Amino acid sequence: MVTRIGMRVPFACEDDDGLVDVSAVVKKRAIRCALSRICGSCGEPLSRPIAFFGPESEADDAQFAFPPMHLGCAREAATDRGLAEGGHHLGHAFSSGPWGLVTTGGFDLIRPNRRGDPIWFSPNSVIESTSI
Amino acid sequence: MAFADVREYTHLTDDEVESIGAELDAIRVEIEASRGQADRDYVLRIITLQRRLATAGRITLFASMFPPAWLLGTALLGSAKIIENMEIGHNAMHGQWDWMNDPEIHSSNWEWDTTQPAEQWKHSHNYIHHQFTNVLGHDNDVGYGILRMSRDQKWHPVNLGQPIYNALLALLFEWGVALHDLDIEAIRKGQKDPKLLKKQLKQIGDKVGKQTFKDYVMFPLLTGPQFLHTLTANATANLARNLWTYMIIFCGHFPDGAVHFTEEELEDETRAEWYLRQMLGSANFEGGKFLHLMSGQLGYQIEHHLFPDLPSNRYAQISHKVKDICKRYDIPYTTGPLHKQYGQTLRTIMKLSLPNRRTTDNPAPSSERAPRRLRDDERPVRRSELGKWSPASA
Repeated sequence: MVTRIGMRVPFACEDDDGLVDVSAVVKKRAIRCALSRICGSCGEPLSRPIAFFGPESEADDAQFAFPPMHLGCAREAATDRGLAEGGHHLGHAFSSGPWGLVTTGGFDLIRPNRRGDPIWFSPNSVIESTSI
Repeated sequence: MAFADVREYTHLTDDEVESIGAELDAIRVEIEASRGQADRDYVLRIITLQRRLATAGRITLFASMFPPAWLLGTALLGSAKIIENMEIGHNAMHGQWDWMNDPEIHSSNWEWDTTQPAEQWKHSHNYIHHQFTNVLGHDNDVGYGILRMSRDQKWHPVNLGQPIYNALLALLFEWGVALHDLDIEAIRKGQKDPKLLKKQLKQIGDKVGKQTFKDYVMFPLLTGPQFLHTLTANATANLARNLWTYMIIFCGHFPDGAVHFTEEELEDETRAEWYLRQMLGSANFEGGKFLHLMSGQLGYQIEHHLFPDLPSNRYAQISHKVKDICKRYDIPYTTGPLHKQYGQTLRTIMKLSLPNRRTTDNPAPSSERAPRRLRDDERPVRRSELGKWSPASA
């Protein structure tokens, strides 16, 4: 599926009924991505290295809100970021400022301590970290 | 029953549930911090052992016209297949070794020696089974869609045949697993996306073709005049693997004490609640190092469900701490010898082939605990005064 300006809707931003909100991560989909080892952007099986892409604050904390992606999908998302609808991008309400692209061998799924809180992803064997 | 009504944890306060979560988090942190070369050496050693067993088995089968050679070759090959499926493939696809950054031993690359495509296993097992563990209507591992495994599941006359279905499932386990992610119930109800079904069937067809060619054409042909002997040896090795994996997997969630749950707010449970559901829904079995190796460390099913992506060679170490937590918080830690766990599973399968009114529930220890877990605001206020040292008593 694509948005009205031709961007691909990330798999993790669409719920099972087809509702799309690119400013939020659908928790159910995010858990599925983590456990089934599929890409949060295209929904296809992941390949090594695994990539995470998010605001620089997330990269600095090594905790990402958006699920793991293919490196190619992460690079494509980085290219699209300037065109994001209303600043919404990969589950974030604002896409301004530098973002970090981190590649890793593995990652941890961090479940929330309180009901309603989001889940996080933490790369656990970082290969490379770059700012975009 | 709903998770909030599970008797085994209704005595816990919200704070205690959170404390259990924090203690389990600490175990995870400790293992991750100490994960390193020794763990890497372990998995490399097991892969080497598995490949040597497989090679020795294949070579021995060149002499498979002699019954002892046929038997030895079959045993070596069967062992190699069991280790590949249980200790290596299953655990690699959980991402237990992803941290090593090894391009071969990685959850995205490992394709195992069985008919189910790895991609479908990672969905049906890693996601459906591990996320919705023992939740009726969600976890397809509860009876694999053909067995009634809980008294909360509605009885149907077709369940009378359970002993036969169970035997067939055990014998043909590899093929049952191959079809597992198709979600037969969704197909029956016409809810399955035809495009996805077609894609999955093609994947299964390709994998079945490769496996069949390897075990029943290529390797038998390589042994020339021993074609038929090698073919029967390969079939027997696969059969032995089927029976063993079926038994180990069924002992993980169906012995007495492992709890089944009804629909819950599954996506919104906290980490601590998720931990508890995994602990209460799983069952271990006891045994030596060899048994645990051959079962992919699934004798530590509770630990595996708590930490599915931590290296399997650490589960034994983790189990002491988990057992201690269960003891301190009065939570059941279901375990027993393998024969006892499987005996209970088999008894449940037989019993549930009949309607509930014809059988009694498995005996449960009596309890004076609350019928459901109290919220903290429903509990008596904790006493905070300090006895005679409190100002009020002065």
